[in-house]
Amino acid sequence: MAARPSRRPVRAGLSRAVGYVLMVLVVLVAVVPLLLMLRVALTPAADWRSMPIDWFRAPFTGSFSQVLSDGFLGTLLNSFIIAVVTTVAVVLLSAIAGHALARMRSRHKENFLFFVLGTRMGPAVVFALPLYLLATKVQLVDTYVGIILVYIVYNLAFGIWMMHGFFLDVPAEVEEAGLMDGLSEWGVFWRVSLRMVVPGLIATATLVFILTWNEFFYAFVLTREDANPFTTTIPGYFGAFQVDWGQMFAASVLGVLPPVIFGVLVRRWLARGLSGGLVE
Amino acid sequence: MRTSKRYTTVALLPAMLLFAVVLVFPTGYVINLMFQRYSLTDVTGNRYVGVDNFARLAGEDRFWTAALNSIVFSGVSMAVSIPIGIGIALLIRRRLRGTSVLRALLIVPMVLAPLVVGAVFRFMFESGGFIDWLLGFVGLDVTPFLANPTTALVTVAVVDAWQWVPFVAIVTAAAMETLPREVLEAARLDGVNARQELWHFTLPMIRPLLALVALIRFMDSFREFDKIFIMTNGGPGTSSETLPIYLYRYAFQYYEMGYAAAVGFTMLVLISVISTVIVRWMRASQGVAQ
Repeated sequence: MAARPSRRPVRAGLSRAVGYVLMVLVVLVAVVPLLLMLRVALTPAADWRSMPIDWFRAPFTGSFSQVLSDGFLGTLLNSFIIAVVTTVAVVLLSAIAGHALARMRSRHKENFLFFVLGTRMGPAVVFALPLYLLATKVQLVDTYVGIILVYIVYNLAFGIWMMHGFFLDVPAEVEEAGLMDGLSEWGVFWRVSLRMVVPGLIATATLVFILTWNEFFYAFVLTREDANPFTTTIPGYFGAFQVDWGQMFAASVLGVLPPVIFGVLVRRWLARGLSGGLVE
Repeated sequence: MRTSKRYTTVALLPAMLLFAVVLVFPTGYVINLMFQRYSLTDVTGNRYVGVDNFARLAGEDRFWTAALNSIVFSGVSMAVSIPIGIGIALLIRRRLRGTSVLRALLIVPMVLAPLVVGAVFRFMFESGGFIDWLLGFVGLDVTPFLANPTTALVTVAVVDAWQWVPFVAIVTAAAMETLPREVLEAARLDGVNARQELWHFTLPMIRPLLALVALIRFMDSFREFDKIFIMTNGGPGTSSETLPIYLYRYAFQYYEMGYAAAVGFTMLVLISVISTVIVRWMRASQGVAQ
């Protein structure tokens, strides 16, 4: 009988300890591959495979300087141009279309929304085939215009779906008040509604930027050497007989930094965006 | 605000035009292409062949292997990522000290380019590499995961799961935060233990969201190309060749566009059927949740 009250805190303490151990484990499993990439990128070839890994040895910068002098920065710049233009275009277009859809009262609306979501399930490998044939014909292979157009549509469905959800939360009275003040429908959209969905715009922009930045397959098929983003350079480090892990990971580290920084900074907007606005 | 027809039309026009050019047109093109023998290397024999491409596809063992591999890949990726993701969401819900650090670092796997994820895990799974060392450290046997035909596909699927566990965890944790605390606390006061609370209260209440998570995880894993391409390229043999890899080979290595279009169309049909089942489940469960 006497043992009962004292056992509880012990059990709670134990369960808390298990919780902390699990937390540390989850964090390690999540970040070790990224740290490993950085470690190998800063290690000379002879020691890539020495185990256990010496996490604190002096850095070797040869792989990074080799990658930087090989024109890798040009492909990073391409990634940047393509991702920024795509993000701006998608956010703008999906805000306009998302608002119109949120205010639409028609039985076609549901169908349209499901069509829009359905485009998301189309695998890139299937659409790349006709797009490649088409791009070859109109000479848009390996141009910014060609790849950006594909990326805009590839992300637009998701953007519209998300912005539609955010505009549904804008109260009708606020927009009515704008109309009373003499604004046109477009005036209400630009000056009233858009300002109320800034978190939604940030969430959409973040996701579109990251998805575009990380995309590989369309770029692999539709670009060559002028408009190619950084992802297309990665397979090049895998030779027929050996892989230049140091250079490949140096390039990878530079390539993954922007989305990692961007993602960690705006993470609180991400949850809502990822679920298509289903949770707050 | 009631919007005019004109506003709606003008606002939707740009998006509709883009969809038409870069989506509806290609779909039509694929449908037209799949009834042709259309080779880019040997153009002299190109002509309409009816449903020959589908007959050929049905008779190819390699196609059926790829279809089965795709289903196994998606199944393993979902079966690993969803339960672990829910587990981590429960860990986040406990609000132990340091949870904000956990949430911040949890973002890392899913913002990495899938291709880079594949590359780094290929390095880790190399013989004598990090995973071998880790398994040896805890006293487990070592097997060449990516070089062994029986383990290659499942290994890549687990890596795919690794990347998307955070997605499941973050979205589920956010959904759990919106649940009415009073209901859960009242249940606990009535003597419901933690496991019962999870099975009979928390999970049923977020079931619509879990269905959406399952749908997104299915669609994303079924079309995964990058990781398989960089880790095994479908090998050894065709043991990890999924439909996207199979399609890529026929379209962009053998240049048999007509046959590849037939494969692509079949893939779309498969995805629609499985997605419809998941959406049905989602809709049926909405009544339960409310």
